[in-house]
Amino acid sequence: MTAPALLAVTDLVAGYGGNRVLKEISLEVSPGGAIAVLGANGAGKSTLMKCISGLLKPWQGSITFEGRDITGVPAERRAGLGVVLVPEGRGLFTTMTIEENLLVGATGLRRRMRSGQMRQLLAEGLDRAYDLFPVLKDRRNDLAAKLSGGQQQMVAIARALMAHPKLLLLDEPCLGLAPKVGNEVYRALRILREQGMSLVVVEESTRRALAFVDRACVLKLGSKVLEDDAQNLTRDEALLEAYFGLTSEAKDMTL
Amino acid sequence: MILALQRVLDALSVGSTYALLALGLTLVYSVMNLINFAYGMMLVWSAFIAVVMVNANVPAPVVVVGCIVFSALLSVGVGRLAFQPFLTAPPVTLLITSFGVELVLQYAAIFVFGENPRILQVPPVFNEVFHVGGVRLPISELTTIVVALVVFALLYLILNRTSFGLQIRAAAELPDMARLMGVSPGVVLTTVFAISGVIAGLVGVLWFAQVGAVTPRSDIDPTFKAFIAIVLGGLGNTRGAIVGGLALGAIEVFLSAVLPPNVIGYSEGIVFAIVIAILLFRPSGLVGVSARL
Amino acid sequence: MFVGLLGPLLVAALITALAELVQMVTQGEISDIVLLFGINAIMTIGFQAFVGNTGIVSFGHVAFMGLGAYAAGILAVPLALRAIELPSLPSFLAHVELATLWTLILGGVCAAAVALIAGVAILRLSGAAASIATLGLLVIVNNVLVQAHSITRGPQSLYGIPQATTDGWVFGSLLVVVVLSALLKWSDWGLRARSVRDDPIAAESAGVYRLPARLIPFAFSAFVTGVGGALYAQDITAFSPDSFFVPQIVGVLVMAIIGGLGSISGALVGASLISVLAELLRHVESGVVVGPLHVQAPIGISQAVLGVLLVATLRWRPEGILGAQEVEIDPRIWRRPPSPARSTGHSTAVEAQPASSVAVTQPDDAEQSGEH
Repeated sequence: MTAPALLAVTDLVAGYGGNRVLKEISLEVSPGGAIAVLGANGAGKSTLMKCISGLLKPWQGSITFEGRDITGVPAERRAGLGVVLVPEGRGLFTTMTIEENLLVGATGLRRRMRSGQMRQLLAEGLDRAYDLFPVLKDRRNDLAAKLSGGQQQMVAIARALMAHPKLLLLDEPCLGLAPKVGNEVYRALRILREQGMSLVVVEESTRRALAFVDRACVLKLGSKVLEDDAQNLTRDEALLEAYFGLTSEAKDMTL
Repeated sequence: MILALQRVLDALSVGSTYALLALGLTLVYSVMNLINFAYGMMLVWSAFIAVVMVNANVPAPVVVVGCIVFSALLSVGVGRLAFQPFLTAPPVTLLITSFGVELVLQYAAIFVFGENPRILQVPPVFNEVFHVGGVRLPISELTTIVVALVVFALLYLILNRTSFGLQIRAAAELPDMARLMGVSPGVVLTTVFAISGVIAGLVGVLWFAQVGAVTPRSDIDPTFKAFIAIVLGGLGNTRGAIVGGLALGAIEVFLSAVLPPNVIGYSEGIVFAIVIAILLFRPSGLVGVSARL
Repeated sequence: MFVGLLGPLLVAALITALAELVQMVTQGEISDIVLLFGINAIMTIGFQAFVGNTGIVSFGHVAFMGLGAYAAGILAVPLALRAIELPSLPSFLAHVELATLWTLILGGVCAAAVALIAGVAILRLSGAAASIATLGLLVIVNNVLVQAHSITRGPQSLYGIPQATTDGWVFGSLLVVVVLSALLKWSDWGLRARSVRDDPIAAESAGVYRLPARLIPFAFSAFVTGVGGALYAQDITAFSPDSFFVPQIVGVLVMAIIGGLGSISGALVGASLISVLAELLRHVESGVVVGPLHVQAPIGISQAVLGVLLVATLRWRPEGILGAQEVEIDPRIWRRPPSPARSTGHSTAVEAQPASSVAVTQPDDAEQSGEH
């Protein structure tokens, strides 16, 4: 048996109002692992992310993190536990500067730390963020609203890192970004992986995702229809496209 | 010229009061969709507490502190108990809810203090008037302006220079995103209600010290002024709140100067009419609706 | 449409019958209470007609009541007395004495006229801003009533109005306004107003514009409320501008919300329940003997109880008792067995969801953000 899972989602059922979106989804992420969640629009990928991050309460099923059941833990406490989501569309606070955005990201740590520790952690966190994305350092006092899409994504990721996550969830990190910029994003993600971060990436761009992760699963209409090692899926990509209408190669212009 | 200066001072004083009120109201509104009809009752309760303390010969500074603390606690209590369950409700639901809360708070005041007016005695220094080159500078007005400036400055510092302030601003702009970052809605709400309560406590003392007496039904006037000010300035916007309050003060003073005596009784109605007219051309208020704190 | 009428009309008829029964049993002793109940029912109908169709909660409807009361009252005071009470009344007002029917109509028309004028400004605003603007209207009307000494006697009471309000007038008017409100609800105007309520942008692209669509329910509801005010004036025979200000807001508001803001039958049910409750509370305030106990609540507790009831209803049952459902009567049932396809009847179940969300936590928003 491999090491116990970092994150285990078991038989999750969730939805909005009367609509059931997720139909008994199960998923595991091992420590240091990276998995991709693929699927067409409306398959339930974002809903799954919302459940794992705590924004949506599932109707049935459970979510376990580091062996502990977090299904009932409210969203604002999950960051402190080590689960951080970078949502679709990035969600930057436009009325704040880059640095202010980053500082907010560390809020989840406050509960565990004393103020002296906190100050140090914040300084370290900022340093690390600027190391990973040097571009941001020069613009640290600029309003977030003035950044390009790619820079905003960097801020979003850096902000998520401020909370020292053990598991980073990314919902469509390359949405609306030029392919070259998307590559920059994945370069940063690679560095994080090398540092031991566990990742779950929701993607429409299958090729880039598959090149990055260990395992991938495909959601269709709320159910998991396929899960395998990334390299196996890469080989059968044509099959995936044909069956599940996933985004085609044509979208990935450069790699 | 002298008269104009006088008017400007009066407008600033009146406007500062309204701006403070609007600020207290807007702060809560920016974090949850609550336009609090019961806000005036916070002032009334603060004034009653002041009356009780003054009648017990408590020194004035202690009275002020006592009222502020009381109002902060009352505001947090009412906020967590009555309003927090409605966190995601639309503004109209919350407006009606706050109307219900006003009724209960008012009844409680009637029960405890009775319907009759209670005089709020202020230290004589408060009623003094400076005279500088023909311009009347009542201490009461100067105090109001100074207090307002201090509050504005403190609030600015809190919102922009503290981590709490950062959390509040985050929760105001994108509540879900803030939660993902670890910002606790409960903590934000408590903080915001507390600050709003502090402002209510302060303004309650200032307002009713100038009016002279308070009854349980005196909440309508402050509530209405606060409402007009935030709608005039732009909902959810602290800058708008201040602008709206000052603008309302200016309109009132202007009208009282300009209207002929036989029409002056209508000034309340005219003010409302002017505000509605302004809203027609700028429905988002003078500064505009935004999430900016 | 006509079938949909029957439900609310039946409820209104039932209420009328009950009221008359009470009058007979108590031998007219509590006639003032019964009449007030009927007047409250009328005003709740008026209120619901606006809020239900436009989704805007008006805090200013008391203004229309006041306008109707003063319009009817001034012209109902006998001429001789009027010359004493209001010596500076303009001549066209000083010499006209109206029969009851005309006072009611005039009361309604005055209120409706003001609604049309004010509505042009207020109804362009959205949601909460519109509600606050209606409060503004109340203040303006109150201000005018207090200031226009020569017409209204200012802050002093207008008195000497003949007591012309009878069961016949009150409950007759109730039946009429219920029918009218139902006609409005199921007419094109009602549909247009509700389409703006549910999705103003989609409505606009379909050619339905916000202002005209909202104006009609506003004017109608003002008319009904004005009629209620006129009846009120000729019931209590004396009043002042104070009688029509903020403290009077809560009564009709609670009645409408408890009953269900989307439903005419609901308005009637709410008015009935709250009237009974208010009476009970009034008794408890003046002391009541229950077995060996003497129960007396402090004066004004009815205000607190209504306030708590309001908040509790919004918290746990924001759609009220009936939501947007009307009581349904379909005479065709008696001719043949109901087919499965007719299960939802004429209460336009499609509207049931959005209408009940007028004063409701938006269910979609709540769920999507994961907050329950």
